[in-house]
Amino acid sequence: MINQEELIKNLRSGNQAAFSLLIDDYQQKVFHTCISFVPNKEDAEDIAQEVFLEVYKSIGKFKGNSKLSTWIYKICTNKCLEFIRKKNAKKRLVFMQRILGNEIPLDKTNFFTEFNHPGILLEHKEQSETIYLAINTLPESQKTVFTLAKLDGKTYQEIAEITGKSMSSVESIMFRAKKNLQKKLANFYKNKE
Amino acid sequence: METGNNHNNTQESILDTLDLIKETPVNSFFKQRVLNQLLQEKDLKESSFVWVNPKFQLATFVVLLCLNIGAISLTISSTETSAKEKLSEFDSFVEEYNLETINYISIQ
Repeated sequence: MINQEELIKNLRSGNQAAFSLLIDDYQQKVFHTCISFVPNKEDAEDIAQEVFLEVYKSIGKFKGNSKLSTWIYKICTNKCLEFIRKKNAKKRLVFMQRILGNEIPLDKTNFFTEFNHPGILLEHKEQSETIYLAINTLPESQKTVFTLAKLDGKTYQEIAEITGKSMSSVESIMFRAKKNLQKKLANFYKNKE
Repeated sequence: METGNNHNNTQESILDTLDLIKETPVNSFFKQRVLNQLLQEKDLKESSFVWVNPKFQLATFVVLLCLNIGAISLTISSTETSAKEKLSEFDSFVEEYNLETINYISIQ
């Protein structure tokens, strides 16, 4: 396993072999984070590709204050949120509801992408889709923390490093996110009945 | 109360569905796609490099400035020269035909 400092040094010098190694080490992890935020395989792959290109272009700006992995996950999280923001903005109904301050309904037509998550079993598809819809209506900080914790399987410590927040802040945001989701899901299933 | 607890339990179990999501393997061609994209962007950067280079733009600007200054100086000097030439032509014309300047006092 190559030393991190050596890897960064080689990446900065534009060494293709080093970059190839980086992709080998991180492609699955980056893709997993992307599909956690964006439950569409094709979109997640496109975003993951952009992440690696950004890493290649910006490695010179990496100061080494954090681990290389943390920096990569930061880029990954930002790219995913950027993608979601752009796609959400295109959905006029969501936009109008934000202006009017109405609650955004849990409706597939409002979701920013088409559900295509190969990891979700058929029997859980509908329920999982509902949860993703609910997650998408959370404020961005709650969405980020909840996704990284529950969907991407990151520890609170890792999330704190990625988001630049304190551990206690992450815990508090996670608590609020869960409460919010429970409320939204309760309303959804109540209205469904 | 019991109904409330039931609802909470249902919501918890719904959220627990997320734990059942299996890991999706990344496409086996993903790495190749990234490397190809990188190569394409590098090629594009190199071919446009000469034109977008700030040093090249500065050099072009300096050359154009010098050319403009040269052209303007040339225009001014050629204007002065042609004016002087016209004046000297006029003088030689006057001398040739032995013309005198009209003096209104002398005519009177």
